[in-house]
Amino acid sequence: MTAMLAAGLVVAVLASIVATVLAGAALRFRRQAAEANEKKFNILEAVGDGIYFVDHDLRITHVNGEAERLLRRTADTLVGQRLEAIVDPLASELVPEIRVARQAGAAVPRTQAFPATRTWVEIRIHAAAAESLISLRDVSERTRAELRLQESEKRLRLVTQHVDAVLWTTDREGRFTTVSGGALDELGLSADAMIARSSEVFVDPDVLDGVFAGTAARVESSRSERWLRHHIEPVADVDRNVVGTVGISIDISELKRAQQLLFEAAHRDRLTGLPNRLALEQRLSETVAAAELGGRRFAVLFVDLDRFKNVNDTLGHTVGDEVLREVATRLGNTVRGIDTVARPGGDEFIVLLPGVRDADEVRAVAQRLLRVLDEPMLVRGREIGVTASIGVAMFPDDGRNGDDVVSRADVAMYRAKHMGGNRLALFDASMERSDIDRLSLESHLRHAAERGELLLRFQPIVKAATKELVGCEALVRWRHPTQGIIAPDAFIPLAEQTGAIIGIDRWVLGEACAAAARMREILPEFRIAINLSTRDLCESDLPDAVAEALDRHGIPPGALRIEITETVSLDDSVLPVLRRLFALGVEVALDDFGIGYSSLSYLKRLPITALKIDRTFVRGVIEDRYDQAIVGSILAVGKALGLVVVAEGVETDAQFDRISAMGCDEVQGFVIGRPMVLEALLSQLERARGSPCESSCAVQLTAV
Amino acid sequence: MSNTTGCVSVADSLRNARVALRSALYDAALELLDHCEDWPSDVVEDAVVLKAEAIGRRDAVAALSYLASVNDVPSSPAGRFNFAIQLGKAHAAVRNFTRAETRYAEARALMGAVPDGVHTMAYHDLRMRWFRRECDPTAPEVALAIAHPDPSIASAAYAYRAWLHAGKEDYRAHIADLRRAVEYATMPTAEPVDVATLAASTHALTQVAFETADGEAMAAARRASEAIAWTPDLHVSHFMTVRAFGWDAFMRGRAAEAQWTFKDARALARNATSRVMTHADRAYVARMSGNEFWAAEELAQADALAYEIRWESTFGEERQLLVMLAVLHAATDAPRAQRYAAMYSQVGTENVDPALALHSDRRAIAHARYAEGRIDQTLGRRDAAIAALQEAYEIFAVSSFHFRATLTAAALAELTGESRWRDVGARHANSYPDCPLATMAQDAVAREDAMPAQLSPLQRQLARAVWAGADAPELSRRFSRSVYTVERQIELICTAFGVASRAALLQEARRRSLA
Repeated sequence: MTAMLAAGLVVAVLASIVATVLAGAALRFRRQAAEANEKKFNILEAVGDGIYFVDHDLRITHVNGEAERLLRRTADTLVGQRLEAIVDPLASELVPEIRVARQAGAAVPRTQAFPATRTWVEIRIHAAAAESLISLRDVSERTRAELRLQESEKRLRLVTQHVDAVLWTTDREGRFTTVSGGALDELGLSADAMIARSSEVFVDPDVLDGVFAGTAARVESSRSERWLRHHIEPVADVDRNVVGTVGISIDISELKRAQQLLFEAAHRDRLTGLPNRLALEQRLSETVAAAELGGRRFAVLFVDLDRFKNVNDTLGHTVGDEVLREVATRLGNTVRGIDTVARPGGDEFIVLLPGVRDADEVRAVAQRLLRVLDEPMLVRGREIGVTASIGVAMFPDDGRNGDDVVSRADVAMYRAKHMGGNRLALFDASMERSDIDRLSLESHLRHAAERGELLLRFQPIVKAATKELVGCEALVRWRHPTQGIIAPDAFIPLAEQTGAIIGIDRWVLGEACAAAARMREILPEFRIAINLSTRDLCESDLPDAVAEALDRHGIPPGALRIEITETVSLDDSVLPVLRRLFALGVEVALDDFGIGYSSLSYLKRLPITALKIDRTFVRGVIEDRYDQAIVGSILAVGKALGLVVVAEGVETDAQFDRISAMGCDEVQGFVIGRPMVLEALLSQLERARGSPCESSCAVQLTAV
Repeated sequence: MSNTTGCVSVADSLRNARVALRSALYDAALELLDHCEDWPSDVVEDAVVLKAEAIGRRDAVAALSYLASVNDVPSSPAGRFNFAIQLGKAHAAVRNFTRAETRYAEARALMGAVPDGVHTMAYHDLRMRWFRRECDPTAPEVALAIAHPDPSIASAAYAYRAWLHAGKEDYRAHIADLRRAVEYATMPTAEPVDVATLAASTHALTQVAFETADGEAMAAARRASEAIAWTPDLHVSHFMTVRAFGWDAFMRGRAAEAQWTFKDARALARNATSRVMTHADRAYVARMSGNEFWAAEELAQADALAYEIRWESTFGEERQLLVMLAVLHAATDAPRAQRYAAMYSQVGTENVDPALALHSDRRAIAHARYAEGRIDQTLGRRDAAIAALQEAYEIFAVSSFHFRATLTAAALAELTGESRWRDVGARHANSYPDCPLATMAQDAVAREDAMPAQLSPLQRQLARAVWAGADAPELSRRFSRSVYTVERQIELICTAFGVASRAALLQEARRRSLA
C-alpha cells in the first residue's frame, strides 16, 4: 500500500518534472518560432513585392505593406478574413486559382491588368496544403515602359513606311547602310539596290565630307523631275568619333511646284499669262537701270482699249476676257523679243520698248500696234471691232524714273482717248497742266453750288408758226473764281463722273422754278425747260423734289419741261421715276433726239411729251438732203405720236422758215435769242406782252 | 452490296440524326440528313420531317421554304400527320397562326393513325394556346400533352403550362411547372430528352428563381444545368443561365463566387453585348461590395468593349445593357450615363416589341417600364421616370420579383425622396438577408433619417459625393451643373447641417455616421 503510494508519488513527481521540462521546451520552441516568424516578416517587408499568406481555410494570416497598398486595405481589416470575403481582383478572384494550385502544385504566374488606372500586377501563387503564399508585383512601370516602347516602335515603323521621305544611314565611306521610307517607290528607288552603294545618288560627296567633319547639313537636290531636301547629321560613337551619317530625304517636289505656281501667280496675269503689275515694276526698274548704264532711251506705251466696258456690258465678261487674251496675243506678236508686254490690270496694257533711238521709231511701233488691234477679232463666232488709245512717254525725256514715265504715258493716253480714240499721243508738258486743271476743277465743282458760283442763263423758245414767245430753256453756267465763266460742256461730264451733278441739278430746279414764277407774272402761259442728267433719274426722290419746287413757287406742273438726254444708261431703271414725273403733269422732252442710241424704241417705252431735234440736223436742213429727210421723219414721227417737236440750234432765218414750213412746233436758237440773264429775258417778255404776239393775234383774228 | 450498306447506313443515319437533334447538335444532324430526300421510301418521310425540324430550330422561315421544296410529300397517314404537324409548327413559329391552324386541322384528322397521336396533337394545341395568349392551364389538351409518353414533349408541355400560369398571374404554379419541366434533365428516361427544351426551361427557371429569391427552385435549376450537355447552339441560354447563377450567388452574400461565375459566363459569351454585360455585372457587384476601384475598372472595360456593339437594331439584351450602363455610370460619370441613356431610344424596337406584345406575361411589361423609368431618370425626365417606375413596381411587387422591386423602390426613393419607397425597398431586399443589397437598403434608411429633412434628392446626392471627397469641378462634371451652382448647393447643404464649412460638414457627417 505504502509502496504503491510511494511509487505513485514517484510517478507523480516524475510526471511533474517531465511536464515542467516539456513545458519549458515548448516555451523555448514557441519563442524560437516567434523569432523565426518575426525574421520572416521582416524579410517580407524588405522585398518589394506585395505578399500575403492564407491558411488551409483560405484565411489571411499575414499581409506585408506592399500587399496592403495593392489591396487598398490595411492589415487589420485583412488578417483573419477569408479570402473570399475580400472582394477584389487581387484577393477573392484568386480563390479558384489557389484551389487549383493546391491540387496541381505550382501555378503559372499571370499578369492582371487594370486598364482604367494603367496598372499591372504580376500574380504568383505558391500553394501548399497548410499555407499558401501569394505574391503580387506591381509591374506597372515596366509594362507602361514596354507599351510605350511598343507604341513608339509602331509609330516609328508607321512613319518610316509611310512618310513621304527616305530615311537612311551611311558608313564612314558614305555608303548606305540602311534605307527605308515611303518615298522610295515614287522616286523609283529600291532599298535593296541602294544598300552598300554610294550615297552620291542623293548627296554630293562634298556635303557628306562636311557632315563627317561634324556639322549637320541641309541641302536640296533634284532627281528626275523630283526635288529632295536632305537633313544630314553625323553619327558618333562613344568616343565621339564620327562613324557615319544619318539622313532624312524629304520629297519636296510638291512644295517646289507650289512655289513655282505662287511665283507665277504673283508675277503673271492669270487671264493673259502676261507679266502683271508686280512683274512690270521689276522689269521697269531693270530697264531704267540698264538705260542709265548704257545712256540709252526706252519708251513706255500705255495701251488702253476704247469703250471696252461696252464689250463687257453687252457681250458679257467671258467674251471680254477672250478679247483681252486676243489683244495680249496680238501685242506680243507685234513687238520685238526684247520688248515687254504687261497687263497691269483691267483693259490696260503696257508695252516697254528698251533701246529705242527716237520718237519716230516709237511712233512707228505704236502705229503698228494700232493697226493690228484694229483688225476685226472673231470671238465665239462673233466679229468684234476693238480699237485702242496709246499714250507714249520716253525715258529719260519725259521722266527720270520708271513710275514717272508710266504715269506720263498714261496722261498721253488720256489725250489720245479724248481725241476720239484709236490713235496715239506722245506726251508733252502741256498735257500735264490740263490734267492738273482737271483735278482742281473737280474739287472746286463740288462746292460750286453752295458758294453761289453757279448761274442760270435763259434761252427763249418761240412757237414756230407765230414766233410767239412760249418758253425758255434754263442753261447752267459756272463762274469759276479764277477761270471765269465755264461752259456746261466743260464741267457737266466731270460733274456726272463725280456725282456733283445731283446737287447742281437740284439747284437748277429750284432757281428755274423761281425764275419761271417771275416770268409767268408777265406771261401766265410761259413755260421753262431744264436739263436733268440721267443720273438724277435714278434718284427715287426726284419727283418729290420737283413737286416740292413747283409747289414752293406756285407754278403748275405743265409749266415745267424736263429735258433728258438719250444715253445708253437711259434704260428701264429710270422708268419708275419718269412715270412719276409724267403722272405729276410735268412735260418731258427727249433732248438731242436722233444722235443717241436706238432712238425710236425710246419713243415707245418712255412717257414723254416732247422731242428736241438735235442741232446737227438743223444745221444741214437747207442744203443737206439727208438732214432734211431726218428732220422730216422726226417731225412725222412726233406728229404721229402727238408729241411737241422742238428744233434747237436754229441760227438763220432760212433755217427757221424751212423748219416751220416742215411743221415744227417750237423753235430755239440764236435766230430767236442767245441765252441771256433773267432780267434781259424778263424785259423781252414785257415787250412781247404788248407787241408782236398781240399784233399777230390781232392779224389772225381779223383774218378770221 | 453497296445498296445494303447504304440502306443500313441510312437507317443508322436517321437514328443518329434524331439523337443529334435532341442533343442540340444541329450541324451534325443536318450533315447526317444530307440528301435525305433521295433516301428509300421507308425512311424518307421521317428523314424529311426531322430535317425540317433541324432547320427550323435555327430559322423557321428556312424550315418553311425547305418543306415547300419537298417534292415527294408523304403519302402514308403517319407520314402525312408528321408532315402537317411540322408545317403547322413552322407557320406558328413565324406567327402565321391561320395557316398553322389549317395544317393542325389536317393533322387532327390523321392523329388516330399515329401512336400517341392524340397526345402529340394536344401538345401542339397547347403551344397554339400560348402563342395566342389563351391562358387556360386547365384545358383538357394541356393535361393530355403533359401525359405524352415522350419525355421531351412532356417536359416542353410543362414549360408551356408554366407560361399559361404566368399569364394568369399564378406565379407559384408557374415556378412549380418550370421545376417539373427541368426535372426531366436529371430523370432516368428511355430516350434522351431534348436538350434545347431543357435549356430554355432551365434558363427561365433561373431568372424567376433569382428574382423571387426562391432557393429551392434555384437549386433545381442548378441541378438541371449541371446535367445538361450544353452545346454551342445553346449558348444564349447557357450564358444567361450561368449569369443568373452569378446573381444568385451575389444575392446570397457570396460576392466572390458571383464574380467568378460572371467570369465563367464571359467565356460562354458569343458577342460583344454579352461580354459587356458580364463586365457590367461585375462592376455592379464590385460596387455593392464596396470596391469602387474594381467597379471602375470593370466599367472602363465595359465602355471600351461597348464600342464594338452595333446598337441600331438589336434585341432586348442591348436595351437592358444600356440601362445597366446608364445606371452604373450615373453616380460617377453623369455625361457618359446620359449618352448611354440617349442611345436607348435609338435602339430599334422591331425585335423587341413583337416579343413583348406576344408575352401574356405582365412581368415582361414591368421589365420594359423599369428600363424606361431608369432611362428617363438618367436623362432628368423626373415625372415620366416616376410614372414608369411606379407601374413597374406594382407588377414586380405582385409577382414577388423582389430583386427588381428593390431596385425600383430604391430608384423611386431617390426620385421622390419619399421614405415609404425606402421602407418598401428594404422589405423586398430582406428577401435576400445575406446580400449587401439588404444591408445597404437598411443603411440607406438609417442614413436618410440622419440627413436634414429639408435636403432635396439632388442635395443629398451632392452631400454624399462631397464626403466621398469630390471637389466642386468634379461635382460639376458628374452632375452636369455649373461649378457656381454646385458651390451654392454645398453652401445650402452646410446650412442645413448647421455648419459653416466643408471641413465642418465632413466632421458632422462622420458624427452622424453618414460618412
